[in-house]
Amino acid sequence: MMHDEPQVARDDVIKGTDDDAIISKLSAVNLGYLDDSFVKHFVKRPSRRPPLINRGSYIRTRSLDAFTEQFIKSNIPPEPTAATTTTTPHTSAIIQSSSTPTTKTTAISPIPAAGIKKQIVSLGCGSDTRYFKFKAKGLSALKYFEIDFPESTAKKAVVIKKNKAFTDIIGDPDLKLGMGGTELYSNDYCLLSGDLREFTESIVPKLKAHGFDTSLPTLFLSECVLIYIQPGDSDAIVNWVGTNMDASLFVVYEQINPADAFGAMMLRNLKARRIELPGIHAYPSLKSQEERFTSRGWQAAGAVNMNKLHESLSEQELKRISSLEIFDEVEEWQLLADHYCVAWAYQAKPQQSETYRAQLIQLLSNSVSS
Amino acid sequence: MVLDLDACIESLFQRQLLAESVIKEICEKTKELLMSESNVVHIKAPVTVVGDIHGQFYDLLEIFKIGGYCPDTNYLFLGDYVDRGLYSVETISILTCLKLRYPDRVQLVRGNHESRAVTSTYGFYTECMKKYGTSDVWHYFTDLFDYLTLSVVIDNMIFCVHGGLSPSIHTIDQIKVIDRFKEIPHEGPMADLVWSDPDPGREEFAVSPRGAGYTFGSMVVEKFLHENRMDHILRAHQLCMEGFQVLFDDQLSTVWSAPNYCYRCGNLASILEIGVEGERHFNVFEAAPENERPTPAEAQRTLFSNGVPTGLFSNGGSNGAGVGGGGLNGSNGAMTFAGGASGSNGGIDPVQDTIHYFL
Repeated sequence: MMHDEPQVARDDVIKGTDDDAIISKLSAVNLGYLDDSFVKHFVKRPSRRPPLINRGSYIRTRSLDAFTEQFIKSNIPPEPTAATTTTTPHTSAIIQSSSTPTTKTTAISPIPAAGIKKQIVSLGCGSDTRYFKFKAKGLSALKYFEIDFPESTAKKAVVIKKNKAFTDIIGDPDLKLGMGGTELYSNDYCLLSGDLREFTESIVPKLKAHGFDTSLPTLFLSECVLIYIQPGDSDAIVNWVGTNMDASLFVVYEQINPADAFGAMMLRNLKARRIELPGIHAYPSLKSQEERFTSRGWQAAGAVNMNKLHESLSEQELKRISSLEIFDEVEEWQLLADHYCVAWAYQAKPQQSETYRAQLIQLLSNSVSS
Repeated sequence: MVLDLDACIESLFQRQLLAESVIKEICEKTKELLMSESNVVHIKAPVTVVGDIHGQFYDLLEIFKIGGYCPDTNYLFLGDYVDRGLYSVETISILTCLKLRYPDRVQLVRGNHESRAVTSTYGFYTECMKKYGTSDVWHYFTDLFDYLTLSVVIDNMIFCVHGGLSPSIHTIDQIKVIDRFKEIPHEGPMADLVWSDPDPGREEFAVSPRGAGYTFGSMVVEKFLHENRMDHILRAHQLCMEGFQVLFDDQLSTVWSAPNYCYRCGNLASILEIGVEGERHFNVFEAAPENERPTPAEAQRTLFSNGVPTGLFSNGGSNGAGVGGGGLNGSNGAMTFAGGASGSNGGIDPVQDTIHYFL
């Protein structure tokens, strides 16, 4: 494909996908599929989407929410009190415990409710409201980082700063803007600007400058993001995470199956809107999405398409969403849902304590069980 | 007003809309015609059977090119004329005119989209508002839909319906006694006929994933054909990637006539040509070539400015600018949903203006 358009123009198109996505999300919220009081602040002109789009927006959000919630709630299970185990200073520094960290051979005290400190990084966050939605429910990580192009983060920062609904959630009187208004910093939420294609060179240092800790278990989210950049650049991100993080869970939601009639038409239609999916040919199937990680040494990976996610809805939940509007697009829905997947993978680097590593893996594994 | 149907048909072939007053009259006259049709209309081959069109007017033109023009070719349309595509108004306008002009050469069966509730969600209502500025045209057509027949039998051998079979219906006579002159109910035999789907993996009836109608299996099909002494069921309603599908050992076919459905599915379409001896041939075709079709953006140009319809064919009489209008009529208690067209979801926005994906 010839890159006739300047990169800037193509980036504008990528940024524009957030507009599309947020309107779709609000459509689903307004009809009762999703519960989110924050989305409306990002949409100037709401538009009702067709039922199958509402259903897909619902499933997409719900799935990523489930991963996030389970990740936040997952903890390292307490050791049986009879056992004696070595705790390393490293371990005890991480675990919030009322007992004094010690290097002596002792039993690990039961993990208090506050649990192990974690981080969440939302790549290409756009107008995503997950941090706010979750914190409003009492669910939060130690720190939630959001990253996107400066033009996008600037708009988001404005909305956040001027709406009490958002600043109340952040709840930090020292909430600050930075980088000419394109970034926002607080205790547990950080909005950073940057180009994911320069992840290692410019985003990583920025993350670290704002308290990002590679030793903390971290969830990385890519919700229709990596697909828009060259596979070399998305691989670089996956490589960096796998190499530098002590324990991480990576969750990707994006398009697959470019080659069948529907997929080919999808690429054509998107191209007519100047939207390209450079990542889709590199990872065009569920299997290749898994191998994306396992080939790089990640412990475990999985991928399912949106049909599978739809099928795993409880009868009650399916009944609930079916009552929200007429849904007469079963075949078309299945075609569409076959072309989207959620893929996940986790890794934990060898630690001083093998037990700790196993515990981290357990934590991550619990995050993906569903 | 003297209605010149040939002129109306000609201007529709030229992609020009009819004036609202003309539509009103055409719908009135067609209702009178349809009123005397049974719920089961008997016709003879040869006939060309067309499945779902869903407002894909350019593909309907393609169908006439491939299958022949009225009245040279007899046509049986199996419903779902509107919604999803960009030209539901043009599509239903021309089909109504053709029915009125050649009543014995054109049969129109009711599909599940020929319904107030469904067209409020899936685009026809919105398109009417956009093209005419008021909901009057939507009212005229949806009132007309109440009169469309429910089924057709060809040569006493082929039972044709939009969706499928019903657990409440074992014989043709049972269909004849249904009161069809109303909005499609949420359940019951009339709903089943327009909503049901075959399930080759089953033998009996089962709950449908569509939330209306049922799925029906091999034993149901065999029993129905045997009981009514027919040898084939012909229906539409389900997207077929190859344009058609044959099931249950050639006892049932689905014909699907909207290629690249919603500009998204990449599917083929077909029309079923039934010869004088009852021989069946699926004539498969692709979407009409790009350069014969305006882009969705062009199609969205408003045909209504300064209160006066533009680009409309008027047959004398009023300028077609409707009075009052706006807002939806109650859906007669059928198919009500918790959501509805919520005000907080913004104003009228056609469901078909962009080809939507998840981005």
